[in-house]
Amino acid sequence: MSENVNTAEPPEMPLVADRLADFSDRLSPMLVKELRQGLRAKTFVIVFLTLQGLLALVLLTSIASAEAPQNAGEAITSIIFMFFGVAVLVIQPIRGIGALHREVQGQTIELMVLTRLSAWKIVLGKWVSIVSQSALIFAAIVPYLILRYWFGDMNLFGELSLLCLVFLGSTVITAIIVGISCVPSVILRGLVPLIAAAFGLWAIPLLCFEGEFDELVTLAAMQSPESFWGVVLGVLCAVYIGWTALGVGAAMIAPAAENHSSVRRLLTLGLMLLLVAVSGITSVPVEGWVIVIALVLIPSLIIEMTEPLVLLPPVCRPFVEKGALGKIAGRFLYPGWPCGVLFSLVMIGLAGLSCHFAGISTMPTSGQTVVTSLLGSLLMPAAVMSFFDKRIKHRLSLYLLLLSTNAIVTIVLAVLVNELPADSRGFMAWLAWLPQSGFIMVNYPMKFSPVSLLIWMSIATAAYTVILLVTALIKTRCIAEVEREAEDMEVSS
Amino acid sequence: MSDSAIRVHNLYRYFGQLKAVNGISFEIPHGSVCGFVGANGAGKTTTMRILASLDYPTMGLAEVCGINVVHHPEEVRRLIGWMPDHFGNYEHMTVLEYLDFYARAFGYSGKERRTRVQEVMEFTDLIPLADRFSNKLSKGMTQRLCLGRSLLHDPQVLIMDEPAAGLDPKARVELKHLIRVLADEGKTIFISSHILSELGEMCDSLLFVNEGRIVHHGDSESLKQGTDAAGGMLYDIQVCGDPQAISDWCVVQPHVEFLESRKQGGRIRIEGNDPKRASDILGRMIKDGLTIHEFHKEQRNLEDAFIDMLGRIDRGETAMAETPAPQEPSFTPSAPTS
Repeated sequence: MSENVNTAEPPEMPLVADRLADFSDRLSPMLVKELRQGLRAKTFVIVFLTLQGLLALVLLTSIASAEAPQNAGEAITSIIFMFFGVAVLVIQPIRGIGALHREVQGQTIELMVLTRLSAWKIVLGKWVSIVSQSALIFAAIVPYLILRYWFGDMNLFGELSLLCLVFLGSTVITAIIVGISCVPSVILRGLVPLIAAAFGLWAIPLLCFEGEFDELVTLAAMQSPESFWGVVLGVLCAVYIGWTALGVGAAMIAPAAENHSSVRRLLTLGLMLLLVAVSGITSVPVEGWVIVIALVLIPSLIIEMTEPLVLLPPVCRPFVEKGALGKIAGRFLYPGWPCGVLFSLVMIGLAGLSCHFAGISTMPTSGQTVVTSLLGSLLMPAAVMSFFDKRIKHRLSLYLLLLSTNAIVTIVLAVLVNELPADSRGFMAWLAWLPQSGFIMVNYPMKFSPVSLLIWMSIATAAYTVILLVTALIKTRCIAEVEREAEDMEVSS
Repeated sequence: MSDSAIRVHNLYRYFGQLKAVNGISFEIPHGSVCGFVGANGAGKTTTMRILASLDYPTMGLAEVCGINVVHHPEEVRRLIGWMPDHFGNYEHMTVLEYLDFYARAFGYSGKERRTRVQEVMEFTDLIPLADRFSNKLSKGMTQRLCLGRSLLHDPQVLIMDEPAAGLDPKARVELKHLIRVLADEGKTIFISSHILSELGEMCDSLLFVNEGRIVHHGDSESLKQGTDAAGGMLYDIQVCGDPQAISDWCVVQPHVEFLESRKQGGRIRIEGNDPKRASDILGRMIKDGLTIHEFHKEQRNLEDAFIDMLGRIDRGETAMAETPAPQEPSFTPSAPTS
């Protein structure tokens, strides 16, 4: 046996396998868990393989029968977009329906909350997991688009841009479905997304094979200032809506001592201030601008006016520490619908200011009436609910139920008015307290002038605003009690 | 560090009209095992959830290692291991992946994570089950996995809600053994169960709760020895001749109460916990001509003691401490959160 054996321990080198195993440490634990589960799920595997098979089949068939390459190219584009749209706008988001509810019902959410995972990380992990699987489908589509390029007559930038916008749309829809997936109401959590999915299955093929598809590609190419601003503002709104939806989900699963409302409201405020600042300088027509404002304002109003009122001293503490100014800010930023109402009224004011700068006064009176009616329709259910605050368990579900009822009443009234002769439509004046009646009256000749109708709708909307403001102010009086407890906390710590 | 691992003072939790926890106070010292006993709906789970920072009190104080659970929930969460009475199953996830996920969630990474998972799997004897799907395990295996998860971050205090429910005898013995090992390692364990005999063996002290209030806090021996909540001693007496003679004799005697007749005698309660008084009473009985052939302090099982206690409360013989009820704050939900 050799005597020159080196007995010293070799320096410890991390194995490649170990380093690979540790790669996942750079990802969120929630994402790792969701990917482990998600990639084993049958839905993803089936969607991915089916899509690949169908696209390969369509492409090979087109190549084989390519007598008129230009037509074949357009057909391939439509088919690619149809399959991709159905996969990422319908099937993938639907997988998020029970994402948070399963955790809530299985009470695993509590186990996760007790770890270092915040509610945001949990929701974000769920969302990123589905989105990353959609991204795999997105990546799998690109080679087919490159092949399609050789068929000619392709708006390469427009189609790639549209593909990206569809993917962005998918991320937003997924965020909305994941965000509402812990709502207790099964109608809101499950049925609404399924109805939307059925609509998507009907609309996507129609859109891909009708003339509007070319317009969409042209819009996505952003060749005019209008389309550029349209896309930029659309993307901004989509990001905001997606982020807000995820925030709502996080707020719902978070312990009561965590405050998710203030950051959400500050972000909405920031976005609205940005829109006020740029409202005069964009080349977007006023009608388009109103739509952009509505995309920001409507989700904010719905969320803030329906937030459950649970306020604990630890939530007030950071505000109380900043003295009187902090307490005033708290009146607008504390969780709960009363402060949410005060915040919403500020947002409505800023939205009005932005529309004013964008030139809403140049809009026809009928357009202004529709905008006022829309605002009133959103405020009315919240005003009604404010009278029964203590009896309401799920504010968001009830609010959306009332909103849907209003929509059904509006449709019934519209049908009735359409059937009646002009001189029999006078009864609609008695329904002026319903803001949504403005949508109908603006479209049919009535006894009163368009300006009178606008004034009536403004009065109805103002009345609901006052009711909300008064009930919210009454409720916010009790905040002082919780703030005192928070001050005691500060002293004791 | 605080003297107590768990401290609860005048704790209330109302769900609308339902008084789930109604002014309870108790302390559990570091390194002890305390059993929490009560009928369904007595307020055990609500109290434990408040201590685990998963619910919040309507009023009162709850501290873990001196840290207020309402004011500093994040810090409390690092100190406690929570084992609820249910187990959340995950589809498509093995035992190893399950523990690995929670280890990541507790902030472990790389080699440290793998080592910690390995240690916990060894402790709970889960290594042979590493590749089994977590939703395909038996109840006993599932409980071991659940215990493993709650131990991953090496908590000082373990809060276990009905961990033995639904387990077969073998799994119960295994769980009892694991709990005893953890107690020997110096962990404070707060455990609720319906199986009182097992709690008696495992626990250093027992807390009996009824309708949201504490009705007894002490060691199990005091209950087995026939000492009631008011501190009285319970004795079984057997006589030769007419057993009615004991009840007649008790009527005229101070500090003695006749509780019930038994076959050849009866059951009496002697006020206070002084053996000298019991000895005096026995002497007087003999002096007054009662032919006693058996006189012994009751050795009951915990189930009997608990039922006795509830019976006395129902009959109004033992009053639960009255404390001023709080007003329902206007900023808390009126319905249970779970």
